[in-house]
Amino acid sequence: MSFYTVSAGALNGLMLGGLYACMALGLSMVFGVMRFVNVAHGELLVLAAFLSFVFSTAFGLHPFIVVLILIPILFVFGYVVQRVLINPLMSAGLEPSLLTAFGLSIIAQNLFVEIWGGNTKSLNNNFSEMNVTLLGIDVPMLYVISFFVGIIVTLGVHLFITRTYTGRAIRAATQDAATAMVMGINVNRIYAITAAIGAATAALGGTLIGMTFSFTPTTGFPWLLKGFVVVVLGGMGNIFGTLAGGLLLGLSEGIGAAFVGTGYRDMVGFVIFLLVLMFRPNGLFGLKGSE
Amino acid sequence: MKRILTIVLQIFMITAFAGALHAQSAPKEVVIGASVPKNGVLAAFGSYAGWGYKTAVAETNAKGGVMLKKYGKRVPIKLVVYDDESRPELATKNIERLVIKDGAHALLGSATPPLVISGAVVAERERIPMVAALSPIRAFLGANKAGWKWTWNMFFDELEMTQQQFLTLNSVKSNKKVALFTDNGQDGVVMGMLWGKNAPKLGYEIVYHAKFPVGTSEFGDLIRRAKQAKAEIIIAQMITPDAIALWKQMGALNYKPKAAFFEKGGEPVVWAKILGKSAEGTMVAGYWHPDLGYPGAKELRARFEKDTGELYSQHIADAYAAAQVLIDGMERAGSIDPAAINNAIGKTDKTYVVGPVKFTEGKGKRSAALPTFMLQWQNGDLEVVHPKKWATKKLIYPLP
Repeated sequence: MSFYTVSAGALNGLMLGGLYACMALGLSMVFGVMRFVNVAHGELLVLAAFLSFVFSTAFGLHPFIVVLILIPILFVFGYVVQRVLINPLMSAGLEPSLLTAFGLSIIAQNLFVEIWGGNTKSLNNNFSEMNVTLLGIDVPMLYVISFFVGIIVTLGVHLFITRTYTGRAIRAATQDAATAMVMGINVNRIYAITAAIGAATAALGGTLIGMTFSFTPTTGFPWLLKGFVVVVLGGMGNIFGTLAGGLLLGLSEGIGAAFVGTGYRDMVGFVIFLLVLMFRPNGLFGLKGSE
Repeated sequence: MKRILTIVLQIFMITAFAGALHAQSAPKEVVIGASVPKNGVLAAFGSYAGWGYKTAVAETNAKGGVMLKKYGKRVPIKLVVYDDESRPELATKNIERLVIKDGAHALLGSATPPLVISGAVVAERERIPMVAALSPIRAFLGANKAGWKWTWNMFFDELEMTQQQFLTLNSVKSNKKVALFTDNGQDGVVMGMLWGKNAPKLGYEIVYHAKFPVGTSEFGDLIRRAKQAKAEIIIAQMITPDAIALWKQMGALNYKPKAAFFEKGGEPVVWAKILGKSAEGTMVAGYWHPDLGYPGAKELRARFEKDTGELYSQHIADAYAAAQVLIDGMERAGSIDPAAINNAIGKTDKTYVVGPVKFTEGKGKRSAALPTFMLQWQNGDLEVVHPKKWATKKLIYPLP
């Protein structure tokens, strides 16, 4: 194995990590604020990919243009689902909302099949076969785009959380929902906005997945698993931690593939996931006690 | 006492007569069960198989059903199809459900070895005949060392198929260096091994062999290694979503082989639809083409495209023919007795839409190999490019 193989794996993995971060950001936010494990997050990503496919084929639009339409659509979708289906169950403990999300995931998969069929799809775009040479290493253009999108989205969400009234309310609800309620914050609305932001980021993540890889109605689950790894690595609910978790997962997968083979790429990620859970259960960048 | 005995005798006679009448009365319908992948990574194959089965059964029912001599009449066929979602464990459950709950008299197979074999195991256990297509023969036979007794398979032989890639390229110039990309599915393992054996015999060198699990989506490292090994030819055996990801990433990493073969993954029309122009010139070994001159071949393509609005796939032919082989077997058996149907299927010797079908003899063989050739995507359609006697278009080489 040459130095080139390892460094190429590392650089490509790091760039792909941006997509991982983007894909997992919504999952992390929802868990961080509500302690709610949204097992339907994978289907949100697939929904975004299918909607992007519909808009881009029907109107001949580039997926990057379509995503600008999808972000508000999924924002509203996420808000309504949270407000109508999940919020009423939040007071009953973790199980009812978890089971509801699980049910939604199954319903969504079946709906995808009914509407779009079971065949493989991918988002056609001019970037998918373009590459960029960085430090003498060829990197797919979409990986590079994903890297920067991951950073920009993370910064955007961070600014929203830290610089706006709603963002501060989200932080308050994250720290202590009961006290936030006493202080006049409508916690149910805050939960819905958080879910809406999560769904909006899934619009970006799903579109990038559809452009870079391919998707079917059942693709959501493997992406959900990868999302969990990113969230645990970065520290649950930690915005910058999610970015770091995504980049770290991409990097370790890339280096791992160079050393032990692509067949074990996912295994490398899951081994790191288990090690972090064993030795730093709050994640690499999580705060102590935040679990 | 005499009177009582007479009554008992009468009752006995009436019961026996009614039983005999019942034994001779024809069933209301003959149930054929099938499990196909309508969802999941193999959904494309399931849609073709499902259409083939449905069309063959509908044709028979249009004539009044399957002719069963024992009852002296035609009996309509009820086709029950369940979705195995590309999951072997569900294929097993579906076949169990078809036999136990739906009372299937005979079965049709799913697609690809993991799904076909998972269902075939139940067919063997329940002693219900099954005709399968869409499962390469060596992978099928290798899965049951004791030998299949109730399952019949008609598809291509991997040994012959894994020579087609090299034979196709014999007429053009290349550095004869090949990179293999095979997944860990049953057919990926078998065919990867056969390419490794066939290449040196036919003057080619395998300079790199990438092995990976089904469902892999990131191939950067493998592509770089194939590129470093200077392979001008790539041969892949993988499912469609993975194959699409691999081909896209090859383009993105600036790796342009002169010839590319995508077995299994490059065959369904979604391959050409999704990849558009970049699918042009990619190849996949085939066993059926509407222009080969088999009876009803052109009409079958036309009917599929009219029904679905989609481009045909060769899988419509073997699925359609598999159902016909099963129905013919039932007609020859003349009854719904599973053993009689099973014996009759074994005597199949007829040219169907997919070509001549005759099952190999000998314990446990129960397979019919369809002749193979090479197909190439040209202008959104699959054309035969090798051998010359069957060619419908000239080979595009190197890849555009």
